[in-house]
Amino acid sequence: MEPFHTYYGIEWYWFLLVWTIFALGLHIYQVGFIVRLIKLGKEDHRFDSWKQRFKEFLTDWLGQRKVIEDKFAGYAHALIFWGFLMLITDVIDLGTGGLFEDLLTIIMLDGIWNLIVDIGYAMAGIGVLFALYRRLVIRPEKLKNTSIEGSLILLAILGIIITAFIIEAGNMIGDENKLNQWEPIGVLFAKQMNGISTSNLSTIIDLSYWIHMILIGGFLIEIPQTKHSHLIGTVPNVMFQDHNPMGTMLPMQVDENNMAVKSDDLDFDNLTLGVNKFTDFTWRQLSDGWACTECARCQDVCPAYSSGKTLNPMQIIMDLKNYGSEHGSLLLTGKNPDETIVERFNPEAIWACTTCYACVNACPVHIEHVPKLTDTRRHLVMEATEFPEELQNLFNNLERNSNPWGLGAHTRADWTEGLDIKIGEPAEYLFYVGCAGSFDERNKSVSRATAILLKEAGVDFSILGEMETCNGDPARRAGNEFLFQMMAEMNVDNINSLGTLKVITACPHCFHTIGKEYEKYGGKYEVYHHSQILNKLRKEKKLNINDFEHKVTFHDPCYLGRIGGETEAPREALGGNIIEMERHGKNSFCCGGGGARVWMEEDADKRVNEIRAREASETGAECIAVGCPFCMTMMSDGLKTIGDEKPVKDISEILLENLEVKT
Amino acid sequence: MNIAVLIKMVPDTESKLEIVNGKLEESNFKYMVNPYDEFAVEQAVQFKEAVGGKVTLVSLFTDNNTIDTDLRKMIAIGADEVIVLRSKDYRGDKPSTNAEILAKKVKELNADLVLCGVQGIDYYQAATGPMLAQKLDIPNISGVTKLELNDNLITAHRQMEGGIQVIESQMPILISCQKDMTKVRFPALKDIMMSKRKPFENQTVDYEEEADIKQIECTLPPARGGGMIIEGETPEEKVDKLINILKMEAKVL
Amino acid sequence: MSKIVILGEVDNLEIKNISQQVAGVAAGMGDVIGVVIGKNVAEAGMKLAASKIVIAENDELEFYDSIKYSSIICQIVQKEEATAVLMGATSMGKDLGPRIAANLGWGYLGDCLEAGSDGFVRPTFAGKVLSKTVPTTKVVVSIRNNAYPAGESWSGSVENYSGEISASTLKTNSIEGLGNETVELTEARIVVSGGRGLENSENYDELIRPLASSLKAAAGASRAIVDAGWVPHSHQVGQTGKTVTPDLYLAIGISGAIQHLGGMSGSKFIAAINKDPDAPIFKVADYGIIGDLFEIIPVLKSKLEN
Repeated sequence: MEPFHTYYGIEWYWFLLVWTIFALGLHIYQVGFIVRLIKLGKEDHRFDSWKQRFKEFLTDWLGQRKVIEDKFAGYAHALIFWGFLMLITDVIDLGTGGLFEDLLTIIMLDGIWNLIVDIGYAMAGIGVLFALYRRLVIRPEKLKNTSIEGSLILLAILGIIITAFIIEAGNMIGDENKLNQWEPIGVLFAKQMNGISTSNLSTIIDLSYWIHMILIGGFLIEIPQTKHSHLIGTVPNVMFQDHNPMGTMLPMQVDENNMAVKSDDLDFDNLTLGVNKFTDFTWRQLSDGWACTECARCQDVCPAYSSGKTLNPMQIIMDLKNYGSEHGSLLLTGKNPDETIVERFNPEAIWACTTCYACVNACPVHIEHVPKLTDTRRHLVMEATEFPEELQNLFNNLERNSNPWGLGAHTRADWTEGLDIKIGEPAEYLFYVGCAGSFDERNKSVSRATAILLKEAGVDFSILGEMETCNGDPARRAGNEFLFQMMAEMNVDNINSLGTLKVITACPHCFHTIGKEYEKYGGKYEVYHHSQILNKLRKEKKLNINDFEHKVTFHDPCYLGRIGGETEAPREALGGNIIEMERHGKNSFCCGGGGARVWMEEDADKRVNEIRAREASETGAECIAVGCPFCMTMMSDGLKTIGDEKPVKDISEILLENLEVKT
Repeated sequence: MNIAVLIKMVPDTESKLEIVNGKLEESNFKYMVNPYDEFAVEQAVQFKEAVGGKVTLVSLFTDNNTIDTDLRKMIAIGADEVIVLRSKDYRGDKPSTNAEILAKKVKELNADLVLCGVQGIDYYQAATGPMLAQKLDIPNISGVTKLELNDNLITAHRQMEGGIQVIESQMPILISCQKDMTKVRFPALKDIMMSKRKPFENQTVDYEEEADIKQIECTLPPARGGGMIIEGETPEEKVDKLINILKMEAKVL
Repeated sequence: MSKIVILGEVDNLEIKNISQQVAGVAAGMGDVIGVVIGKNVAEAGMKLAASKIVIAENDELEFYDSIKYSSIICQIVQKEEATAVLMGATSMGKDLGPRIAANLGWGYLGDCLEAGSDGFVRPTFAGKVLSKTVPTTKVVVSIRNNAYPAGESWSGSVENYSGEISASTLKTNSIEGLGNETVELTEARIVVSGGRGLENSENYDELIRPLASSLKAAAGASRAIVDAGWVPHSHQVGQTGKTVTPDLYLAIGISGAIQHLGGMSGSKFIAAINKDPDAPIFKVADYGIIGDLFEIIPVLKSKLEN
């Protein structure tokens, strides 16, 4: 029994045609609108490395690689997604009244096709049931405030699946009574429907068909408007994901060799500094808005959000999408609305970001949240000059005294007193001490420990001494790109003057900026975090470290672990016996110091470092090991605030304490 | 309204301070705009924005060109022009000489209002402003924490011990600005770039020494050893020692 | 014998101690002629330690006016043929001194730390360099508090000023904030600052504020206790608070993290009281007491008051 007959004297295909034109037309119009909006964005050079991109598309889009990082929800989604890929051609068959299957029969592929479609519907059905169970029974915390939209969509999908099986079964019942073994679930349905009267069956099958087609048409209309826009957006998003090392910020202007244009040559008359208009974003930054599935994984890992600040990374992406949709018509005429991007994002949210990249790391569809915030910061600092007052001091100090605290530059090498260290001489390695390690009492002892260990192991190294300046990271993350560029250019000259291209640093921010971002300014160096070198020396037996008794937990610095990709070396260096916090390694929770936040005021009841300090304290470890001067300050502060007296020590300090000195 | 702002270029007090042969070694100094003068620039620009007019910056310095970037930042805040009087004999500790040279220039400008910082962070004499006012035969108010302009009257809040003296006056007048008189704006990058196109005049002048007293020698105060821990058996003993040191040695009590 | 003119300042119907100190310096240089200007200043003015006192008392002289006051002093100097003018480095003295020097065509030495027969010492570069001068020509000098012991007041001759008072466009409308006890943090000579070691806000109010008050100092705080709500943000010293450059910074119960140091490292002298011998503050403090602040502060306050 089939639904392909006349209704009220009109052939079924006329009704379908009208509906198809309407639904498909609306869909294409809306998709076209979104595509035109995204094309308003600036250029973003991602049309390279095609082989790699195709591979990534296969693993990430087709293979759902990042989606399944969340086991329950991820696999549920994967089932629905793969299922739909398998069943999608069924709509062609249903839309042509069975002609598609007839064609396949000619080339004897109808059987296998039917099976694939059935399995597809079944997989999707199981996925939907799991998803509904999660939403309605388990009710996880993160979904608490979501609307009923999600559940309704799932129920609609379920409707499509069930009606499909009913139609399948319908084909097997009636005069023919021919069960199709290639459609096993259809057969199950058919068996259940056997006892129904012919007239009722006819109604059921007709209804199912039209419900099925109406739901599909409805989806076509709804997809561009809701979180389902990710069906469109994820394709360019995954295909054109960022191939730069994670966390790398881009210069204001690049030349034909993709190197930064020198600060003297920057064309300020024609340069937009940062983002304040929708069209200041690149197309790839804009496509993020329509790739978002509202899964809230970014929200869950964001330290700012966890500490109750205004910033919610998912909201930023929604803001972008909504801004585009709301002002779309105006934007497409080439005009700009009164409301600016900064106003929509909210400056409070913009300044709350620590640039820890947990959001970008967690996102299954490769959305890049952080650059949107650092780009708006560039506008706020360099054009609007509206930024937290504390940063004015920071910028002035960096410019004048080349360190964030404005202390006398000539005192930079004072920490070396008593140690016989090469200053300003060529050597195999350059130990880039960093500002905290040079000026902050607590961190000076880390520099000393590192230097002593390196000497003990016979490593030939030198420091820059007074020539060393801040690498510029705080200026860059705070949005003062011009100041950063001037510092970077000067630093590259200074480092190059020593001739050494191998750099060791105890600060992950130096590690990241010098190692990954200085390249564009002419500085290509091999940069090592001190934990990597110390680990290597330990393995080579150039440093003999006694095993130590007390239990240690290691707080992975964001710029070393997640952004830097190094989680093993610090652990091995510490002897491997670490009590891990739940959020460790690449999933480490930020100490709250990055993104120049260590220089900004933070509300007392919204302290990121207290959250992390509590987590560290609860491991029961006797000592908290860190590998970054910011983490050192933030964790020490945090522990003090929660009343925990356990020590915070750098890896180098722990190794030095347990060093077996060669006699 | 015609406003003249005096700018002194001063060495960063965080610079390395070395005494050679009883004299301060100045060859390695990096110079910056005296922070107190920045308040004067900002205030002048605010007045210009309110009532219109011109803000001219006047500075006196050696022929050292490294100061040009910092002076341009002052233009970027909103000044119209900078005039730098240059003499290789210039010294920051000669207020009479400097006031005389600056006064000649300021007189040419026919300013209604002359603004400057209350003191330079190098020599802390707070002298150039009042001296210049005397030489121009105009009144002056020093250490102003708030300045208002109403028609042709200025109202100044002058800081004095334990209070604020509120003074009204007509112009012309010289006002020297105290810290936090206003909030100095952070110039936008574009404004800093634009400032490169504004007039920047260098003028050589003769440095005829006036009545300034020559210094005999410079010394460094006893080094901050970073920690004399005061010993004592009882709190009373320690406190006694501390008070004694603070009175006799440090002379701060 | 050289004649030295000094300015005697009257505050609250009493001659200021700093003016007596100036008189002491002047006495070592020659014959002292004291000038007192104002309204209702005669009685206090006569206590100035000078052999001759000139009182310029007039309604129009009630409030400090740079033009009027300098005209009076310059006329007296010329009449007496004095060779030096000395005054305290007060807000008045530091403004008046240079103006008088320019008027007379003399040199000026401001804000002297030490003053005496063997010369004057001035602080420069935020007090990091001391500059010594021995004037050989006529000079105007302003002298800091406590640079010299106060002179003893004695009865010299008193006369009324009979010269002219120049006209001035300056008109004082009012004096505000007198009697206001709190000293502004960024301008204070002494700052008494408290940190987490105080344990709670009551202790801050009971230990820090009274101590500051008795020293006529400003009260400051570390960020930790501002965040804890014990004191308002206006008290915060440090990177994200205020930068202070007092002559004396008393850090009580403050550990001395770099963010705090950034706000007070320009202080001339730093004294710290903390029970932790390893606290970073001791590395930058000139003088430190390792001990329990709850024992030390009350003792300090009572001894200072005596």
